[in-house]
Amino acid sequence: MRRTGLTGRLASLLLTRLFGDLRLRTRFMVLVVAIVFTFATVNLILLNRVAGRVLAAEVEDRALTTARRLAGEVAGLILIEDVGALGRALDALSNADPAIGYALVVSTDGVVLASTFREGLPAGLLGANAPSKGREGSVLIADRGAEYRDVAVPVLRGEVGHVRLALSMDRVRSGLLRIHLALVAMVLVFLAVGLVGAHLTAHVIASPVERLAEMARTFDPAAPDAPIDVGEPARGEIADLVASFRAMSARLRNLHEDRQEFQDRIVRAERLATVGVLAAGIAHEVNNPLAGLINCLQAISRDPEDVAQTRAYAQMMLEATRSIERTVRSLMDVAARSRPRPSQVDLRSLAERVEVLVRHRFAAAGVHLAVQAPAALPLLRTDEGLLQQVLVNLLINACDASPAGETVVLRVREVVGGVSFEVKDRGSGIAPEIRDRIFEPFVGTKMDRGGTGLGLAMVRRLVSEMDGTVGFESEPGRGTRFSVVLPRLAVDVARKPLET
Amino acid sequence: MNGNVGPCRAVKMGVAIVRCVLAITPAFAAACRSDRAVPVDFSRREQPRAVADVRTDVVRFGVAAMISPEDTYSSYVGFTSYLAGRVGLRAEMVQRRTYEEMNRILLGGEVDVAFVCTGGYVAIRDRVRLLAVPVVDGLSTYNSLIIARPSGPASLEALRGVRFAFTDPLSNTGRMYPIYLVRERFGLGPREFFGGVVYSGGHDESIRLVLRGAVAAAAVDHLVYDAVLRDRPEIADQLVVIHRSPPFGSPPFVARADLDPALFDGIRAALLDAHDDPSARDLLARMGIERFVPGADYSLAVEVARVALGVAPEDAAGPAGGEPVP
Repeated sequence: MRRTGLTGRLASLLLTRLFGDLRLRTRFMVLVVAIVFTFATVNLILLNRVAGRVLAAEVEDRALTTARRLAGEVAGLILIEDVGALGRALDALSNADPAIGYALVVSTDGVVLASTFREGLPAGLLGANAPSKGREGSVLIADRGAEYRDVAVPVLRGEVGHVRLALSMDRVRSGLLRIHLALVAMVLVFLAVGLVGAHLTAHVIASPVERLAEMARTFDPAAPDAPIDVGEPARGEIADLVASFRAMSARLRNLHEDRQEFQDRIVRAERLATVGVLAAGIAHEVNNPLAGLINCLQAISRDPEDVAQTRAYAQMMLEATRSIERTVRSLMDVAARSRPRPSQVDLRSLAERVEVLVRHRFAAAGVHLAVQAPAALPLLRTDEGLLQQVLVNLLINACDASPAGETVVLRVREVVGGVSFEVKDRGSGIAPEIRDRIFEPFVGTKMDRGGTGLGLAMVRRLVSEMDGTVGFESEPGRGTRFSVVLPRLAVDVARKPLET
Repeated sequence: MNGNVGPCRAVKMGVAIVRCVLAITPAFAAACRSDRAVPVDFSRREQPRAVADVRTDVVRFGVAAMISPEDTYSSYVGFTSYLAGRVGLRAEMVQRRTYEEMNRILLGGEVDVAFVCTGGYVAIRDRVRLLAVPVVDGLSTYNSLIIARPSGPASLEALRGVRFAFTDPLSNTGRMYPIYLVRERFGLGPREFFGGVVYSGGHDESIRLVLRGAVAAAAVDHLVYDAVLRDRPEIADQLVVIHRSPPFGSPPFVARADLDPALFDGIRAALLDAHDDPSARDLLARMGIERFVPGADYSLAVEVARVALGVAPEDAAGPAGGEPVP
């Protein structure tokens, strides 16, 4: 077991809360979007901070540099009081640099000697950046949407006045806009790459998992071991998962084989048990014709010249021998067969043979057997021996469960799509606590009376071999009705070899 | 699994994330602003203050720009304040681009006292009153130097046909004297003798023009020349003096003729004993002046101006005099 740390547990809890039942692909994409947007936010904040400051500082530097140069140029003009030349100098400067919002030359006593404003000064502008004597000043001026970096630079140490110069902050704004556009482009690229990556990653992870899930769904332990192909060359966790799956399917397959073998043994054991159960009846069935045979032979040996009598006895002996042969063949059908042999089965004669096998047992128990098999039953292609075995087992169970004097009914009839065999008794019924497990090995109602508990397990196995179904209805004290339904067509026992 | 619910939730989650980002960004952007902007409504204009009190407590000093206005200001502002302080007033220093302009505002009464150049002074000498003459290196006189580069013209004769720099139309050393010299020696006007003439506006600028090679030679005030060489000794071997004039009376301090006599006397007294006042000594040094003396000999300057201008200098300058004939 891998130990999950506290953070791992927290993360998984968080992810479960966030993503709930989202598919892996969607989870990855949401994660990518979240990461990219977090990245974009951090970048936006940092860039706004850093770039905004750098650009603003650059504008301020440029404003100061320009203003200092202007202060140097206009010093002489202020001193010779050439206001016209001052105005021309300001105009020339602002014409040369479109970033210049405005420029002023102010005397020491606050008189505006020259300005780029054609008609008066904006109210409050002069006082907005009043430098203390001899020192440069810098303020940000906002006029509705527009912003200006306004610097004041003293002329001749402030002794003759100062110049004011304002640079538009549009440069900062457009610079930031360019950066933001670049960032948006970058985010879109990251988003696209991230989503494609998430899709691919999810595909790489999910598709082998989905393929494994499909293999698990259609897993057939009886089918031969197929290679597990999950598409991508599996490594890491996927490889572990594939290996675990392979090991698990191998275990399942082994279990299945064990179970199969076990069931085969049950069948074998039960067949032998049935033979034992039937032995008395079989002996009786063989004994009577044998006694007849002996009588006939004794009569013939006493008077061999009587041809008419010999002929009549020979006929009787032939009948007796055939009866013995029939009985023995039925027994062999029940007892053992190396391979199943599907054939066209005449259900009526089958019913009769079954009756022959069990009638002695019924007679011994004082239970009546009523066989209801109409003449017009369809032929069924199945293994006669298997079917006979199933019916014999069910009849013996019914007989054992029935008190003396009761009647067990074997009813064969055609139903939609197949043939139904019903064995009905009025016996003790099946106790409710074992009903769910009645088809499992070593479960039965007569375990205390020498039952193996394997009979019904074998019945289920054989019915399943024949692609049929078996079920029962039981009421304690009122009796039980087992019914086996075999499909009329679609039965090809040879397809599923049964080892015996 | 629910294939329908998945993408729908994913989209909702994505929308939620985008909303968070959008909600956070402006807040951070606002928090990032380093300084707050001062709101100014550019659509509301105000007219500048047009009325000011007339100031009567000042004495206005004009200084003719022999060097750049900024250097002139730095050199003279302290001493003008000192002089005004000596007569209980405040100083206001006024400069003009040319000597001509300075002469006009002096005659027009815009300035009370002016430090004019010798050429300017001789043009208006009977319409102003001489206050004092500075003494430099023990002399109240100065010379005109004709300078060139060592590879340039080496004699007056060699100046024929070269580009020559004058300083100011009214400058004695920077223009009048070389014209006088060419007329006397070669009987030619400056445009006939030189290959071309430019006006630099100042003696230091004329030196720069020669160094740069923009002109072959120039005539400059020897005091300015010496000062420039003191500041930049490395250029000494890039210049040669090919002619030195006889001494002229130095550029004087003058007052407008109608200045209050008491004020005239007060300023004159302050000028003449400034070198004895410890508080004025640094201010004098800043101007490169040792002391002031009551007068100097301007007869050569008058003669030079007469020859250079072709008329008596006082007829060539004045409020209605117009631009002097080159």
